[in-house]
Amino acid sequence: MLKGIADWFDERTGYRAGLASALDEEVLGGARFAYVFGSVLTFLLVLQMTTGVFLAMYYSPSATDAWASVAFLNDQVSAGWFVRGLHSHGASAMVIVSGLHLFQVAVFGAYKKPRELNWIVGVLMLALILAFALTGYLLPWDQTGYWATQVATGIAGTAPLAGQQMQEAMQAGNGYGNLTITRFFALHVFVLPALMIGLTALHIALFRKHHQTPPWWLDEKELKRRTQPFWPDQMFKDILAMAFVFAILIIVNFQTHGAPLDAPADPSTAFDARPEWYFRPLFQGLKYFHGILEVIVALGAPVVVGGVLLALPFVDRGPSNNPKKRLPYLAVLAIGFAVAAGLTMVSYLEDRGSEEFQEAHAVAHESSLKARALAKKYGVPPQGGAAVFTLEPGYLGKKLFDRDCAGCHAGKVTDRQGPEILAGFNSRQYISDLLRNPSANRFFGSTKLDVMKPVTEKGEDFAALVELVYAQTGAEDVDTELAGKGQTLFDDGSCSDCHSIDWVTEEDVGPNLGKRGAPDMLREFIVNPGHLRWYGEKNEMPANQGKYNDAELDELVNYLVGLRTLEK
Amino acid sequence: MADKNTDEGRRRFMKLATFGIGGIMGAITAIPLVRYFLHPVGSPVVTTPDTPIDIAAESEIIAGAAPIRLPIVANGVRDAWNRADNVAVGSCWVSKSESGEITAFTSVCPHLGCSVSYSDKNEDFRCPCHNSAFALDGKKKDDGPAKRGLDPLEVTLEDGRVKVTYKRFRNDISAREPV
Repeated sequence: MLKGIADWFDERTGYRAGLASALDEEVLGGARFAYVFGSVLTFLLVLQMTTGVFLAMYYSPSATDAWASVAFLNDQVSAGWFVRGLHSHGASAMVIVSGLHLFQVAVFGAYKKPRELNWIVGVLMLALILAFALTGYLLPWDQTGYWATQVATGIAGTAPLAGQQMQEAMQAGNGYGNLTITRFFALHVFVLPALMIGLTALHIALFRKHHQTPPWWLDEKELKRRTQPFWPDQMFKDILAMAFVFAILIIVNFQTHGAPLDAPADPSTAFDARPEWYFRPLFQGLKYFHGILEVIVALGAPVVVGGVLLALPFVDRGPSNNPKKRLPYLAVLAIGFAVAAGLTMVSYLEDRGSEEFQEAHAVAHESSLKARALAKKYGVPPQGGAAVFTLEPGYLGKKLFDRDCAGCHAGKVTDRQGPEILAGFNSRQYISDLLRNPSANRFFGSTKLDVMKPVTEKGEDFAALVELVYAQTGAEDVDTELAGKGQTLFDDGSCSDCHSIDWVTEEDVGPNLGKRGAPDMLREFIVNPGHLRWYGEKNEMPANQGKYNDAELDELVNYLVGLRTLEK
Repeated sequence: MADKNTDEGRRRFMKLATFGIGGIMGAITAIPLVRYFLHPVGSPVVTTPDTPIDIAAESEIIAGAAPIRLPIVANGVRDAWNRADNVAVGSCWVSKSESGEITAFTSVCPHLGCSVSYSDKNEDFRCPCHNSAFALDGKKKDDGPAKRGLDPLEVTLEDGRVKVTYKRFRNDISAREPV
């Protein structure tokens, strides 16, 4: 039955003969692990294409949607992190295995006549792999991709003559936006794969024409004697190598839980961008050159490397495949590799040694976790990835505070004019510090209100006064008994000479402390701090009458109240 | 070539092992890919909050008049990765009886999901796609392929405003099952 179906198809397609000719290749000198790299690369290419197609099922190439869709597929879709991780780590694997492939070909002298063209095709494929990496890095539209790619297109912009035009053609316009991402996407998923498939077909066809370059240490007779068929002898070694690489990929993927995803791209922030590891040599190298030299190196280095590789088969024309007789040529490749590896290592060591970078890196990581948690919980507003932060409870209050209040209340000690409002504002500790030293720079030292004498009560009496003031905030953990004792001390002692603590009395020497720090007090105070209940004519803080709507005022007050229980 | 028999045994093993290893690798890749592909099946990817949505002032709806189509504009609409406000998620046909009772039908046809119109001539609802017809009280008329009447949406009145709770129902079955 099965054979009947197979016969039917064979009669119409001739697939058996096709398959046989594909598999019936003789491997001169026998199957070897040295020959596996091309097959492993083909396997990785298929894996990249498969995972890529699946990623496209959830990915949305637009400046407002890209990050959100990647966060969604990575953090919410079943096995999404796994698929994306395979694709991202698979790209790294391709770079590594390409390097090994190039190394094997170089050592075996497989670029030599008559295989020069296939070497050139291979070098072009290597360039394609890097183009894939460059375009793919931007697609998540996260901070790293966004800023690192800015550098790449910026380099293009420094080119002589048509640099500006080249940059605008790459990024599709005068700046990064929707068109940048649609362009990079189209290149990454249509243009580059089409070129890659074409070159792969050509590479394999040329390879089939000229076959493996056999080991140089065996003579003709020995090569013939050891010859084995491609199927299954070489294929078996190939699949073992594929399985080995695949296993490493899977392990790395689980260990890293997929590929990293930074916070959404935000042009308004500073970001310490780093390129993918395989671009590190160039990234590091550029640090050593400035001005016109920087341009020359940035654009020249890839041209030189490419040029050397392309020229190799035409320069090394000697008849021998023995590496010992081709040492100068191999040395050039080895030096190039050593320089790249060295630069990469220095780059990573510099980052590891830089406290600033580590700090920025930690902040970026925090920010990424927060953005992804918010995206998962609430979804991302249509304004774009970075707008996800606006969904955080308390976001608006903090934003208003940072915009309108922080200058005087949270700036550096030397610049600050009003009392400090930071984490712990109006906590017991804060009130205690304030009472002990109201004229400190932290409090009223640089205001017209610098007139109160420090409170000198000791022990429980002092604690009672602190508790009384603390109780005004409406906090839930007030010790009412202690606060009651504070009230007696307040009334009997010198506090009440200047202050009331009843919310009603006006025009005392000092502000009325009633409800001090409670939400309704803050609401009114922010709008009119010069009210006679509080600072009267000594007030220096601008009144914010009509500045905020009710919702904004609520958010701002919530933020201030929330500071009380926030750890410093 | 040494011993022909051992060579053949070795090659047989290599062929089987190649298929075996390839199969395992394929499975390790395919299983997550299938799960990934099927993720949206049965999961609420597009959702509208089930809180009542303001559609009009009560006074705008005239007792005894022909039904009017009102858009349903929701906040907090989730669509895969997005969360958006002011999104038109659908529309409903609203009318007020002489006794003042307000009813709202979703304009989604219960047959295959086209948008139902009101026919002034016939004084009933008609679906332009397959000619299903529904009476003003939403009941299915004889002609047309729909298997049930129009789906009513829950109406609530609050401070003179009319609100509906937006829902979608499964197509082309006689029972009314929310999606």
